[in-house]
Amino acid sequence: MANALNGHFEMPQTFAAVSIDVTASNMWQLEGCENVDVQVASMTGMAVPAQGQVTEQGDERLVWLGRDRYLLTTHRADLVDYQGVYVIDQTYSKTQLLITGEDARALLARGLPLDIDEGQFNIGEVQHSHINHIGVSVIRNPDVSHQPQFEVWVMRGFAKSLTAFLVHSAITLR
Amino acid sequence: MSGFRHGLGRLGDAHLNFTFDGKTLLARAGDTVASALLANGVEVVGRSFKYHRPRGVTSSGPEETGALVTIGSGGKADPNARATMEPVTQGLEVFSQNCFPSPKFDLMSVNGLAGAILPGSLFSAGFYYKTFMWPAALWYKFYEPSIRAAAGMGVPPKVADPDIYDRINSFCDLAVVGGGAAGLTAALSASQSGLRVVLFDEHNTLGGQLLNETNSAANTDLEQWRLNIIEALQAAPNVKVLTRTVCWGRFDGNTLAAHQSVDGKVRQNYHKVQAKKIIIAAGAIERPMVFGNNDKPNVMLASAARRMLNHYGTATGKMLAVFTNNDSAYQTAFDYADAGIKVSAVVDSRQYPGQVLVDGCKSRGIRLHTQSVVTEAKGWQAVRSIEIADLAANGQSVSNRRRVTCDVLAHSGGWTPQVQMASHGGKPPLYDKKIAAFVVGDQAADTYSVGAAEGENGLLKGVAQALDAATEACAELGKKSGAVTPPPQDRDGATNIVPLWSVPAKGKQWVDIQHDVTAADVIQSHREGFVSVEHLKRYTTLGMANDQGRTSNVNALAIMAECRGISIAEAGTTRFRAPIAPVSLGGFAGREIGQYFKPVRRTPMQEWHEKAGAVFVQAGMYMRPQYYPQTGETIDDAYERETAHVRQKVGICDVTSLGKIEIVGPDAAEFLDRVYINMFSTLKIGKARYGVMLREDGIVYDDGTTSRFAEDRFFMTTTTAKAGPVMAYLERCLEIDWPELKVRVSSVSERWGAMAVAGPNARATLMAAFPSVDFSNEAFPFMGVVQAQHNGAKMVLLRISFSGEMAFEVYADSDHATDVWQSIIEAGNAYDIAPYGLETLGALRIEKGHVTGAELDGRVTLGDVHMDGMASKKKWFVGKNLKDREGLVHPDRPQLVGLKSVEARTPIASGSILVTDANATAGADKQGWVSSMTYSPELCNYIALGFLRGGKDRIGERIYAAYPVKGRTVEVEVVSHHFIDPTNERVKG
Repeated sequence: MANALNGHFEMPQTFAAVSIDVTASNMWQLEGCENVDVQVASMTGMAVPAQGQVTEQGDERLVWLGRDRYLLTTHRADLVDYQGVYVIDQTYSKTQLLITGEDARALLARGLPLDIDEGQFNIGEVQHSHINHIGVSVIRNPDVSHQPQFEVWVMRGFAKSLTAFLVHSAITLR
Repeated sequence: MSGFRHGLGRLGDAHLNFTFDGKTLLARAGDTVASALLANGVEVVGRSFKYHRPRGVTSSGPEETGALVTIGSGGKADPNARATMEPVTQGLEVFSQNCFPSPKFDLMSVNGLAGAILPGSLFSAGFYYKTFMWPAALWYKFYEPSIRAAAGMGVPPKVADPDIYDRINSFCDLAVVGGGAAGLTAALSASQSGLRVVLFDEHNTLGGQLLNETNSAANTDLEQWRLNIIEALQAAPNVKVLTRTVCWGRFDGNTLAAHQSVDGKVRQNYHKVQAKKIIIAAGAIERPMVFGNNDKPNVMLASAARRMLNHYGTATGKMLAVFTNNDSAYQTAFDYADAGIKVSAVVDSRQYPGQVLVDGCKSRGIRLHTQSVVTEAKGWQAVRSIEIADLAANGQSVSNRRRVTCDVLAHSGGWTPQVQMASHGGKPPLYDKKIAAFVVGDQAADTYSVGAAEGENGLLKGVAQALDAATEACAELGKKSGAVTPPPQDRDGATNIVPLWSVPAKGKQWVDIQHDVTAADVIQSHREGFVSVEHLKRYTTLGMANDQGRTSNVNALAIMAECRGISIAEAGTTRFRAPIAPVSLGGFAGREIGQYFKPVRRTPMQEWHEKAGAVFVQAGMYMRPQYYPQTGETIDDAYERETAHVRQKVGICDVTSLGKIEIVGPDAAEFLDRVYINMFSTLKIGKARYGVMLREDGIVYDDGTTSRFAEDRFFMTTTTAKAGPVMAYLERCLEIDWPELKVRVSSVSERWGAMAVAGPNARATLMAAFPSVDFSNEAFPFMGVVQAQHNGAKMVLLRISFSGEMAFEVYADSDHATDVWQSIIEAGNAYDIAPYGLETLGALRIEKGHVTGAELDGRVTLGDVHMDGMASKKKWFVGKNLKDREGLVHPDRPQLVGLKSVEARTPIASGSILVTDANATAGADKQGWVSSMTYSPELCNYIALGFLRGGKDRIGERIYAAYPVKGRTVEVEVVSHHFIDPTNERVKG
């Protein structure tokens, strides 16, 4: 979660047209072997996202991770297995970065080999890729003050390296 | 000194200063280094590769073969920059290359004299392979360093480049390569569809060959057309215009690679562009004529001389002569004459140039020599006159030689379409007799070649091709392209070329000016059997300089075809490969230098280790504490102290790097039974078991501990090295081998921070740290598992030992792991707890005889490491079918043994070879090897683990560990690999 960056970066890091911030939520990986979509929907009360999609309800999101595998971001402190759906606690596995601003795409393009141009990667979509050799999941969040925002999930152990790379790149954008 | 300023061209009158070899010169904003040097009368810019012949500006573009310079100094120095592509900026430093003390007087030009005296033997084709052979002893000591010192182009900087380079991933619907009339048209047309368009051009200014046109009143409408299109493109939000960007390669998936030079915080951007469609409008490049001394400064391509005058406002000489075999060069003569510059001759190898051209010469008072050739350029360093002659009707001989005065010779041997990019998809180009050049053959998928790149030199026809391509590309993407007003004037592209591949006269006739390859070298290559164009290239190095043979390839292979008596089409071209232009390594490196070279994976306790003064060592992507030195301690002092401390008291070690995998599902136990050699379905909830995995071929793959949390939930740990591979392997098993199993695997490696607490005081320490947990032997026996909480942190505690001592592994939520670690330290202070690093971890496990990656190196079997008894006979598992092959169970296989130095304080080097003869030499019977070693504080002796042939039965034997690289041989005693506590009393205590 957020504290992988404690002592390394004062957040947010703000530049001419992009900012890098960090957020946090509990993360429950939900998966199973049979009727997973039905059971996950029943368990969470949310529509199960299609491939590459995110569904949202209140302050909870259900993120597509792979076949029969989803990740619930929530403030629920605990969750238990449900009707063949196994719950894996990944809360402390990932650091959630927020990249916001007019240059957000330009910054991510310095390392992310995905087409995130306007119209190509829409709000409510998720893709799994890498930045500078570091595995990431990228979610297109709703715009903030009419500027695009991307949420980048990175394995906790690589959070400092990824943030350092992004900050170094952001400094030279303008 | 011949060049001078002549009008403004398209440049403004803003002036800049730059230096050439330390001398301050004046330039205009928009000048290239080449145009500015010519405007300042600089003729000799550097010296050539082998012969150190004087070199000057030969072109106005990326095909430059002569004016290679070093831009900048110190770490910013950029050698071999093409002066024609480098814009002048205020204060720019430019240096000549390959010459000492100066380009005008170069001591190494003696090479040229030697080559002239001994033609065909010194420095000619393949001379590297034939000369400097004897005596052999001199090769490394003298010949090679001498040749290296004399050859080469430019000098790389010796200090690090301080600039930043970026790599940028881009995506577009349509990529247009080339910003000439065709490329501009295609981009603008496509842009109106709303599709994303990227336009690349190598030059600073868009326009391609339009920039060769005069900026006179007669051309105002044409110039305005160019400017209007550029303005429209720059205003379009869906178009990215990248100038000074060389698109140098096309790869699978329509991926284009391009380097962009930028002025700002970043020096270059390396764009990786994925395009749905590609239009190649890369244009054509003029070829030189091949005649005597055609490498002399002030011999330049006719189109370049024209662009210098019309675009840069730089007259390349005070008296111009033109030599051509086609129509296009005449316009250079006409523009110079119209600008008031004397044109002393147009020499045309053809008998009948068109009447319009003849009349054009006549009306301007230009003397036209038809059916004539230039046999030689004359002048001490740069051209001061030319020798011309009549060409026999059969083109095989010359006569009536005479001298014509000039100080610049503009020549044209025809035009070569730039087919490299189109050919990167593996499609060979085809020879087109009409234009005497290769054109694109089969188009690669999603690709269109248009304009001069496709062999169409006519302006309106090329633009029409571009519009058609844009229309088709957009339609295939479901969009409609827009209309673009065609240019208001046409330029007839018919060159009416009559090829003349080389002038039939004696003298040094250069084919590849950058690499000093002559027509004679090509003929020699044929004579010596290197007749394939691919062999010709390698034998002569033709086309291997930074112009990549743009100007030389066609002439050379035509000469070779003539030698072989075959057609040019049959001779073919070499295969085009990326990069087609020189690109900086900085762009490839991007930001991956210094601290950004490689990501570092950090454990939750990393800051604690740093504050504790740990020395770190790389372990995969982690930087792990190697040891925690106290004042004045060496690494040996530190790990010996730490090891003894763990054995006597208690220590704590960060083991977060272990792989951690959750395995869930109704068939989880069955799954583990299949991947491990031993049984896991019988493992009780709340217990852990050591397990070993084999590869399918029966070789040991990995080991670790797996705990059972519930009937259908397990927690596996792997070695640090195999964390990723084992995870991928398990997924592969489930996806491909056993999809019927209802099992899911998830990496939770990052979710847990992990620490090992080991030593006689480990239990007491943890009892103090976590009073809510019952650590009694009954409640928490060896291989027991407990789930607990501490200050809000979830924890998993395992009673397992890698050290041979009473030990526990504590897994805690990553965000809270440092708090948990700190709690253990604070509780452990009463028991004198101390942190220990990787060195001590290794020392402890060697003393105990545990194997790790050093032993499980992909060659050993279960029997080799005495684990064959672990393999279940009641079930099948991966590797079972092949593990008992004859070669894998042979009694003479090297087996794991312990080794003890006979001289207690004599180290045994890891990697040593085990031999029975102290004086063994190469070829001796090698009995095994040493896999890992340490000093054992407990035994007060250097010890090691190793593999010894038939080792199980050789306990007590004395042999030798030889390390021939360092000339060291150590006498060792073969002992059990369990140096301490073979009955596990400590761990179970």
